[in-house]
Amino acid sequence: MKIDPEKCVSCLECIDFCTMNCISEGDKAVSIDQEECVECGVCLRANVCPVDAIYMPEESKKYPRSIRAAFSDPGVEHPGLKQGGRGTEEMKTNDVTGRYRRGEYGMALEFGRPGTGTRIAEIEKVTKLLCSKNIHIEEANPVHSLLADPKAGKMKPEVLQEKVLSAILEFKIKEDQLEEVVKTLVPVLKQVDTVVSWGLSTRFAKDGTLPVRAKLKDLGIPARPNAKINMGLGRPLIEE
Amino acid sequence: MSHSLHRFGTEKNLQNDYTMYARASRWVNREGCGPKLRKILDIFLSEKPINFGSSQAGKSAKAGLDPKEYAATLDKAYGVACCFSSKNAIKSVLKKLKEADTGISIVVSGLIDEIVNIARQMRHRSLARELSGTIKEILGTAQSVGCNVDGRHPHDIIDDINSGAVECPAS
Repeated sequence: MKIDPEKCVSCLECIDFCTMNCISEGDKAVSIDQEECVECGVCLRANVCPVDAIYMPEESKKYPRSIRAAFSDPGVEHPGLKQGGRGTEEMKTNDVTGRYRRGEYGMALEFGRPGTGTRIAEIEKVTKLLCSKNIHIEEANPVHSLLADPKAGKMKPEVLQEKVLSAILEFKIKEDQLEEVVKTLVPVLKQVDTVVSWGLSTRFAKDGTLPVRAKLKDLGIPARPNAKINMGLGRPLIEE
Repeated sequence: MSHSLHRFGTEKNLQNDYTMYARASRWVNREGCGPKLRKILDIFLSEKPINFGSSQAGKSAKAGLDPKEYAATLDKAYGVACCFSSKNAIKSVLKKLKEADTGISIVVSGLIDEIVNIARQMRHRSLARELSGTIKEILGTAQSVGCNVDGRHPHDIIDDINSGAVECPAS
């Protein structure tokens, strides 16, 4: 996103709407830091500029910079995926997709958040690690489309320095891999230059319990007491 | 808004914090889901949520989004979300959603143990107010396991009940 310095009257109304805190006051006009801007479009959609000085320039719509908006603006669809946003349906539609079966865990690592963002290079630190352990990156997820080598977890070099509001890396593991994955990932996650939120998707046991809570506790992971729960009202219900 | 990460708290202060999210699946039932999402929104609104909205609508109820404005965006959406501050509201909404049988996946975000208790209560008995509702629940179950009833597709019978072509006893 950019601000036309010829139109800007420095009212400063747009500054607080920036999700990355990258709009600043200059001598004659307000400007947007192009390195930090994730093209989320909130400054424009807020509709607070009295002179319509905010706009998305043509260069923001061209690859590789175009991936910033695809990940950061929920109204923009990822090419080929027919969906916007940072991830997939995950467990929200598991009753009709059967994506996560009993005996496996879905993992979602969200890199970045509003206010922080992430460069794609930070995500590559983890994709390389996962692939070295023969863990596959979810193909229906937009992060997969950034991979130059899905087997090695290497990202396309031209996207490494692009910044996005956040991106969710998804993969699945077998239940018995949980301890190994946790112990391998935690040290690497401490090295990434952003915040990472770790989500786990699991089926309830047939008796309605959630055995993974005890496993996480034993591993020293402080899982939240609240979660998203699919109520099984989707149809047609997937077969077990 | 539906992201559980945002709902940070203890078991005590999360007692009255629930988000409900209806989500159509891109691979299964997203095509033409607008009318079903509007029906779900009506059910959500009937129990007075404290907030609703979406990025497509551009704002939330707290920021001035009108329910009709929100409903108008749902033909191009694949989900609808709202927040409640009462466990009883969640129970009531789930009961109505089960009866409505829209086939759209429903997610509740909140304290795991509370939601599991609510689900257990819903599991073994009909939550319908009238017998016709219970009959439709059973027809819905028949449909989900691939059974016909008297040679007819269960949802055709449900449509006949809804239109009055098939009469159900009052009790």
